Amino acid sequence: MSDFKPISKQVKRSLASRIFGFAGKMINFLAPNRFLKIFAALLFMLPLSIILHYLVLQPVKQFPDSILASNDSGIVPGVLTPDHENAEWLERGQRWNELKVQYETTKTLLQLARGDSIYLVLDLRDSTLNLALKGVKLRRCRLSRLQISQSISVLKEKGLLAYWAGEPFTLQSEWASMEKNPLQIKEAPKDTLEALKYLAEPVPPPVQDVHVSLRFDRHLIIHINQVQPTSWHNVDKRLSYELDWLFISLSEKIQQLKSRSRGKPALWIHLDMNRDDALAVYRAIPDHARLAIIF
Amino acid sequence: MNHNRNLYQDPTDPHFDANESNLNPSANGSVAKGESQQGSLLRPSFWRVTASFFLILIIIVFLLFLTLLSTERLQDGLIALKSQLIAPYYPDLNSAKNIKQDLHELEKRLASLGQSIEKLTPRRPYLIIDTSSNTFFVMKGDELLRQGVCSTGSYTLLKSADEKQQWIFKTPRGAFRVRNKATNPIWYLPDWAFVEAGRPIPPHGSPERVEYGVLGDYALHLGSGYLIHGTLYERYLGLPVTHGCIRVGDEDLKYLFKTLTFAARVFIY
Repeated sequence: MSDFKPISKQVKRSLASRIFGFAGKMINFLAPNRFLKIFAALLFMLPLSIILHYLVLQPVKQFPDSILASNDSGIVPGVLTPDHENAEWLERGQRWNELKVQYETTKTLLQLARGDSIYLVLDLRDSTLNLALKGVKLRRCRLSRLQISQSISVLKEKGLLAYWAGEPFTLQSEWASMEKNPLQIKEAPKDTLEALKYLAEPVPPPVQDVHVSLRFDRHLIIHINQVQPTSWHNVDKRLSYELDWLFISLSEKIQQLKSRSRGKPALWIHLDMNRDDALAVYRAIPDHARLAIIF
Repeated sequence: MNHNRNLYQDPTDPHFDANESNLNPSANGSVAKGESQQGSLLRPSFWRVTASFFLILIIIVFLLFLTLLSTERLQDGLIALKSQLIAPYYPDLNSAKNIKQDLHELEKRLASLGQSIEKLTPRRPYLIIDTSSNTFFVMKGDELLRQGVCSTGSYTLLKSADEKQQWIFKTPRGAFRVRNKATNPIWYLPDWAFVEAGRPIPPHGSPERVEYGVLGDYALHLGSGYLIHGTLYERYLGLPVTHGCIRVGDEDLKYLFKTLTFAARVFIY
């Protein structure tokens, strides 16, 4: 009964031809002669191919060896030899890999628990991010969203996790949309009368929006975002954080292009959680915080 | 009207007149003029080329910028494709002659590590203080015994009038132990208390430095001058207003004093 009719192929074709026609007109308008067209194509293709080569193809080509080479543990995974290719061996090999990951993770947790600083435990099985100290869970933050880069998933799938995440990760740098511990500066009053003037009822601290990027060693980047939408009065801070992050990642990529260093794929994890949890986590982690991931 | 009709004339129409139509330029007798106009349109002016050059440059820079930003997504997509070509890695089975024994050994070591981790959780009641929400939790193992509000450091930097001294009022984070427990504690005022009140600093040991009753009925010492104590201003509980100590309400303080034993663990984050 409805008037809805599916778009016919003819209409689709005519739409496509209009779009391409418009694009063609635009190209003709911008580059009215052949010289400009060739120049524009070269100007675009040359840097594009450099970017794609050094920042996309090379890291992908060298994956997963580049990730494993950065592991200092000196463990080199063995590859199944053809004569062992039978079900029993495969099953045992898989079990060995699972146990190895569990063993390395437990060893990491124990190592962290013996330290004196607060550390993070990202439990991917449980979808939680935990703040811990001396083996005691201080805060359990439930994740509303958890997104992992393909490279980490592939490492897991291929039984390579133990060699990448076998040691605790160490925080290298961090960016946030808010100050970690904002200090209020107070000048000492000259006398008791002036001190009385300063006396005021304390007010609750303003609500802060929490968006944090934590860069760890071994190319791991963790982005923590609050699930609540950004409030209007914090839009400028959010924008500043996003621009900062953009600038940093761009400058790093340009640096990588300049040095033509052996590319490594980015291993990132996106976590969304409650604002209070995100705030508590960000405020609690020390400068060189350590992290264990439970897969 | 005639011109409009020609514009919409269908060439397949048997009544179509090519002479009337504007498809035939010779029909209107303005060939030379038309050609010269067409020629000037085809030959781009210097300004048009310059403008085009910069416009192209801007578009290309923008496209490259977008490409740079999406390299991680591209990598991800390609790695997903490549994953089908990567063979799964297994332990070096040639060197591990008896993998069954190895598996058993690994399981044993894992169980032992698990036990070591379990042992780390204090068996006696311990206290967790969250300085970001100003709340506390009394725990025993994984069991929550009590929770409530407290007040922690205000993160204020106080500068003395001569700016030679300064103090930061923050609650330290980390693992502590209850080092001492006191009833009816006395507050021995430090220098900053006088600076903040605009009073002259008396010498150490002066009776001016002693105040009774401001810390509540009990105090638990955490070391380095930091205490868990009571407050005269219970309405401020839940706000970061202290000089570094942890303030709790009278009832909570009594509970903490009774529950937390000497050397009980206190975790502050």
